Amino acid sequence: MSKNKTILIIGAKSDIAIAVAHKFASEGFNLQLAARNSSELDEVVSDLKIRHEINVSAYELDILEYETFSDFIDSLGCLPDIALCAVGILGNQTDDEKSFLNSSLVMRTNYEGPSLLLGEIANRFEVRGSGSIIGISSVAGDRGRASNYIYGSAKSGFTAFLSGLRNRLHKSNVNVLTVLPGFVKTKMTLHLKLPTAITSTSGKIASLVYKSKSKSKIIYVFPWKIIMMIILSVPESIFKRLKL
Amino acid sequence: MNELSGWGRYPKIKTKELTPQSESELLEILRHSESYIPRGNGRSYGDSAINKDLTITMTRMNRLLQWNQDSGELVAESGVLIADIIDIFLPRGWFPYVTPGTKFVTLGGAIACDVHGKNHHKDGSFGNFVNWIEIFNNKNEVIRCSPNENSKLFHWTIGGMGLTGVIIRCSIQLKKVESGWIKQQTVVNNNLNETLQSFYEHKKATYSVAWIDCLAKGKSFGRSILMLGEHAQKSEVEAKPANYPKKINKKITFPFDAPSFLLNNFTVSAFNRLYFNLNKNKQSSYVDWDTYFYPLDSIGDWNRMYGKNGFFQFQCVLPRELSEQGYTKILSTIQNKSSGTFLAVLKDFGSGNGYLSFPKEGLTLALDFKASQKNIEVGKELTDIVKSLGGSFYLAKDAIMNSSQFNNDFDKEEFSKHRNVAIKSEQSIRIEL
Repeated sequence: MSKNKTILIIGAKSDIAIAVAHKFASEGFNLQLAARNSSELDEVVSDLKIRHEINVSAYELDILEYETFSDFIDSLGCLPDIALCAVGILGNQTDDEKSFLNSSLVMRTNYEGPSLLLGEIANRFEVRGSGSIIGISSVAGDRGRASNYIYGSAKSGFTAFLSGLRNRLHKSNVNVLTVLPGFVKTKMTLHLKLPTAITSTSGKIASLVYKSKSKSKIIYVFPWKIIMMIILSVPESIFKRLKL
Repeated sequence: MNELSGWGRYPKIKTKELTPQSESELLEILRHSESYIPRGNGRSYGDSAINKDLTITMTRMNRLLQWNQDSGELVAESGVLIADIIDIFLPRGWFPYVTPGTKFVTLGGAIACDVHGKNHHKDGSFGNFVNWIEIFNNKNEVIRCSPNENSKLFHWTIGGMGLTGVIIRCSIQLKKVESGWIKQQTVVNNNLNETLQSFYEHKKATYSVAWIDCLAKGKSFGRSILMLGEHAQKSEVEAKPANYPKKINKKITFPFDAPSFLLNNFTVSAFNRLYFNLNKNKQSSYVDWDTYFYPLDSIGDWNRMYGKNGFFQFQCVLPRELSEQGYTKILSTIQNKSSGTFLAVLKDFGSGNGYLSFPKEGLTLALDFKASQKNIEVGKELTDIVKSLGGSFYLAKDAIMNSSQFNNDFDKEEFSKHRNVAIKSEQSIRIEL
């Protein structure tokens, strides 16, 4: 049991975030949950407290309001041991590609906000000399596809940011973990028909995150490493003709 | 469109299914739907939690909202499972006051069916331990009802099969226990008369239920094994490895639909003989809560045992004074006409909650039937026998009754004042409830 440790979960309303919260809480972690309209987390907060008998606090945070980030971090009861970001919006590719505003929202929400916030927290971890940064990115960032390249490009940026951060902090005592889920059955993907054989659950991702929390690497959710190897190996001259 | 069925896998019906995660999401759906039924974890047997147009599954609304460790009062959303409640609160010394034979039911479902357990003769049904309920009523508002506040709505909701409104959250009372062990005692009864007598003799036991060999004939007709239970005190189970044992990890899962010819009168009566003989020499022992209350939960998907056509259950209650006569008739009908009746359980009820709630003073019998045309006919015949004796039926198990067979001696005008007319199940349409 890792009693008294604390994890900050950013984007705490997502299904993956809630599953991660339950997993860490069941292992004795205290929780700091940050989200927009955080009052919607009231039920989740009481549920976590009662089930796991740990401390949970909720914080209001808008991932697009960068100027609030420093104050937000200062307002946390303590600088957490782990900071995980599960912020993400899928957007709607066909609508978004016709709208600067929509595209920009997807890009900023999936890339800029999470990168800037985790970057700032990483700086504080570096000063303290300890901490874990965990980013939930996506395999969609590995190669742009017609069906979701706005989302994919933003996730690609986030993955690259985390790689660079990991590289920079290599010699410090701060680890950076990048998690790349493929299809996951969550409310974000509720309207999509996902192939069950390669679709994971939030619970499985939470267990994987917990197990890997102290690692400094990129992990794929099974079996997406192989799938992405195949997708990446297709030459662009052929790839551009595929319907993916 | 999804195909849904109850736990009996008969009937199977195509419907649109939604699974809201928050009250705001739920209300958004409800305000825009003209015909729907809420559904818990799908453990009622027939079609009481399916509506062809829209079935709203509540299992994602499963958060615990308030807990008082001193009083044992729990406030929770209606999609919380009894299994979760035991998992979380048994180690803290609390257990559900009333639990049905599976722990995989939601609180909303337990209230809507007013489920009962092996302690009905002593403690009554689930509704007796509900402090209040918040439901989405027939005026499109979320309101709280309890025995003191909107009490009529409360009483019609207990056992109301979800028809008064969608249950969103509730407060229930748990029971203080010193351990997770049950002291079990078995009593052998050699015929129906002994069986009925035996309930009377052991009415002080907290838990009691009889497994009855419904195929035994002649002088063994109606023979049974009565199983009694008490929560063990801490001092009784000090030698056990854990005072609050964990749930049993699922040992086996029924991996396929059994060929339906496997269950016939020959195989079932052989099983019954074996079961009777194995148990008749057992005296008293301590068993963990999971084995005692939920023997079938440890076999995943046991409903597949009846083959791909599924099965239906039949559960009735007969007034005590007519029990011997009635059950003699019922058991003989089964022996002469049906095939593949596997589980038969007899239990006595204390006084009930009235309104639409099923349990009432008398003896209740629960039976499983493989869903074949022949058995459906037998089921209908049994229904008529029960009806002629003034008995009634458990709607959570029914899949075949028609509106004239449904025991409708309740105040329909009064009920209609509290009914939410947008809510309909295939069952409520069938029996015109």
